[in-house]
Amino acid sequence: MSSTKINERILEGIRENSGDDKVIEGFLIDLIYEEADHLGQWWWREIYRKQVDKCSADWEEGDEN
Amino acid sequence: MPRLPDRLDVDKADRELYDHDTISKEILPGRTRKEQFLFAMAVGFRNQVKRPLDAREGFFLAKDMRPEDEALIDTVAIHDTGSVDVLFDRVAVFRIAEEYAHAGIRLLYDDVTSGQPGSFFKKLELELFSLVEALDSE
Amino acid sequence: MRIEKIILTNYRQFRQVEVTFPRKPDTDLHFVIGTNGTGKTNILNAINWCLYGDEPHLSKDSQRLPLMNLKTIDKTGIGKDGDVSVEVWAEAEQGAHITFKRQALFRKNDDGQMMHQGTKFEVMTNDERGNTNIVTDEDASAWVERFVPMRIREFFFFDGERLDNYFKEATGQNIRHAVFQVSQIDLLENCVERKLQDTLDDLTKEAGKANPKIEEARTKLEQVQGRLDEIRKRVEECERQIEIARNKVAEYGEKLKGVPDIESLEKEKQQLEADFRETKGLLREKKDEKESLLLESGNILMLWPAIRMATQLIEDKRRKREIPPPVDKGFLEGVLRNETCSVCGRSLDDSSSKRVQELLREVELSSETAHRLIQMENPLSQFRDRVEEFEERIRSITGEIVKLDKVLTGISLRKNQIDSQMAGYDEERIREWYHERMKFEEIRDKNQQQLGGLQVMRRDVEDDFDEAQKELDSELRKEKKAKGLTKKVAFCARALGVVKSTREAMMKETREGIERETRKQFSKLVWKKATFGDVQIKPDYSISLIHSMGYECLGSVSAGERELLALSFTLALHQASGFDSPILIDTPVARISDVNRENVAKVLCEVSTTKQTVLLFTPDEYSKEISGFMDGRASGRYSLKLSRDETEAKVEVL
Repeated sequence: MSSTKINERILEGIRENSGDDKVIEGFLIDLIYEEADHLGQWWWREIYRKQVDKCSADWEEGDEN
Repeated sequence: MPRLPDRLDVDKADRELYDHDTISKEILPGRTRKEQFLFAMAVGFRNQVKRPLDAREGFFLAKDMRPEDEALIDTVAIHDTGSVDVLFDRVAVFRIAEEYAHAGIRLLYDDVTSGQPGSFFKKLELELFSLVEALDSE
Repeated sequence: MRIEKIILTNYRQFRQVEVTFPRKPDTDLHFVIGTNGTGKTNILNAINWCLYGDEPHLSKDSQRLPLMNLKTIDKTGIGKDGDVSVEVWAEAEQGAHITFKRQALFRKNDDGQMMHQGTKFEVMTNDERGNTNIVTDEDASAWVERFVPMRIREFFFFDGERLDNYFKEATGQNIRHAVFQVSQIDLLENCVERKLQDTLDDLTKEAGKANPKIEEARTKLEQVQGRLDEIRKRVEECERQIEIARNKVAEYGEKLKGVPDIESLEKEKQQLEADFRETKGLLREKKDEKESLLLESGNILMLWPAIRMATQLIEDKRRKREIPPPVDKGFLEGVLRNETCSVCGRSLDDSSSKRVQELLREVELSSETAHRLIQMENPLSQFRDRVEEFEERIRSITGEIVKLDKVLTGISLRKNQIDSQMAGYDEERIREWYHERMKFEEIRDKNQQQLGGLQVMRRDVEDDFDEAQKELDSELRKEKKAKGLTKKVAFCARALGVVKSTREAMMKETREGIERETRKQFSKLVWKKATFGDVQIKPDYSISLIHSMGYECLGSVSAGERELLALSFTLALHQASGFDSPILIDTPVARISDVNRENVAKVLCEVSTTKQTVLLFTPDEYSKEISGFMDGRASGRYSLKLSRDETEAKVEVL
């Protein structure tokens, strides 16, 4: 986890809207921290794609509410 | 048949009275020479004053008179002579009218330039009403 | 997080100064009092320099001076080193301590100038076991971002006098930007959401390449999305225009209350003037008619004795049958001509002939006269009628003249009334207000009409979008080859949906929350409570301050009131930010009048019960309204004093 602080309300919101889908929840929270840690331009496409590839492998479509 | 005069005259000196602003623009604006003359004649008659003309000059043509205008000057002539026979002598009839008009215009001029209060027409209205009243009481 | 202390070494006025900020159980309020030039604002600058490497509040005088304290420069020998440092000691959650330290190194050259040799920035933290970790560069900056992110520091460390400037340009854009930054919604919207959407588009394009039907469906979806975005923008714009127009109509309506309807009055006046002219014309005509009647009737009435005499004479002659004449003139002329009497046929002798000649003369005379008299009868009869009618006609015309005069008087009276009503008003300005109000009414109505149409259009396009989305999903599901990609697409789409829902909910919640909090704080701060009805932060994030009469009044309030609103908004942002960071305000009440200062003191004391609050006052600001409240409550009270030679400032505890 990064040292950058994230507004707790955002994290709560992600958890709420993800429902029981922990994979989506984890994926998004990681991305948020990545964004908070990277100010300005950065190679996001690669990171985002890597995360999608990794997390979607563990994800079942029925995981969503 | 005596000769028929073709015009009615005024005294030469009267022309400037008829043309005075107060008379021509305030009292008798837009009136013809004939109408101005007849009114002056009526004023003279009303005050029973007539004066012979000193220097004559033509003022308006006799043919411009309508029957009611001729009737007015005829009645003045009849009243002045006491007889209808005067009607036969048109020169006499015109002369009588001219003499009354000559006196009348001077009276009118003096009245309106005297600086007396009250507008001319207001005074005229009052006078005419009193004449009507006198008629009604006869 | 809160600041425990700051240590300033050779930083501007401060050679060696340490200021601690102890906390009391029920308050974390601190204030420093210093006149201009003693370094009050440089305390704010010091913190900024330490954390972010800049000094955004330097005065013009300070800008000309070197960073290093002048006395230190003086005492440093040629070729010797010196340094400037500022340390901010912070206390984080669970009692952890963080120290931020920035140090700039200098060497004195032969000219006596201190030449910058480099700057170090490090952050020291203690872990759970008490070990100190030192981080530099990006990692150190990350700690600063966790403490008070740079992009929102102006809401945590700021100059009270500049608050007014912020709100002078308080557009929806500024406010939205601030709200999004402080609450980190921008992180969701501009970063995660946008990039996830791009990633999703990339994945769908890849799937489309494998199967053209997917590509077709994807393209169609993209097009519909484009149309939908466009319509949504137009709806937003329409709503914005309606709001602006509504406020303007209310604003002008308020201005025009009690003001005469100049346009209507002018129209009425013009009509009255036309009526006046017409009536005057009629009156002139009637007066002319009366004058003509008087002159014509005057002739008749003045000559009446003559007319009456002539009338009687004619009547006599008629009675006596003298008119018309008894003998025809032609007959007598015939007798003379023929010298024979046409009656008995006898020839005329001398005496008979003379007699006939006499008769002829008499008849000639009486014929001419009789002819005239007969001719006079009709006019004389008309004269009588006119005399009889005269009175009635004159009275009738006079009555009409009186009526017309009354009408003219009435018109003049009404014109005067209108002039009185309009006197003292700047007609041009009022007319302009009427026109402006009408203009905004038209804009409002036009946009409302357009909005209706756009909303219908939006519903239709939303339906199309759902259809297109279903179509794409269906194609993706069908395509076995793209199964792997399909799953990634579905995953991405689901994640995007979660982000959007979170963002939308947060936006609404945050905006409403900030609005509520701003309203609450403002009502506490302002003393003219009855004047202000409401504070609103609209969906487009424009701020409205609504007068109790219902119209927008942000543009017309005083600088002090605007500053109170800005302070309220800032405090609301703090609550929305989720950042438990201190608030430090330089000259917090400079533009605020005495009557409002007590309220500001109360509110800031209240804030300090849950958040560290550091205030830098000038002695003039620290009036009795402030000190009455704060002296007993503050946990730290300091004053700044400049040395006699003005090269060094010291902090004294009060």
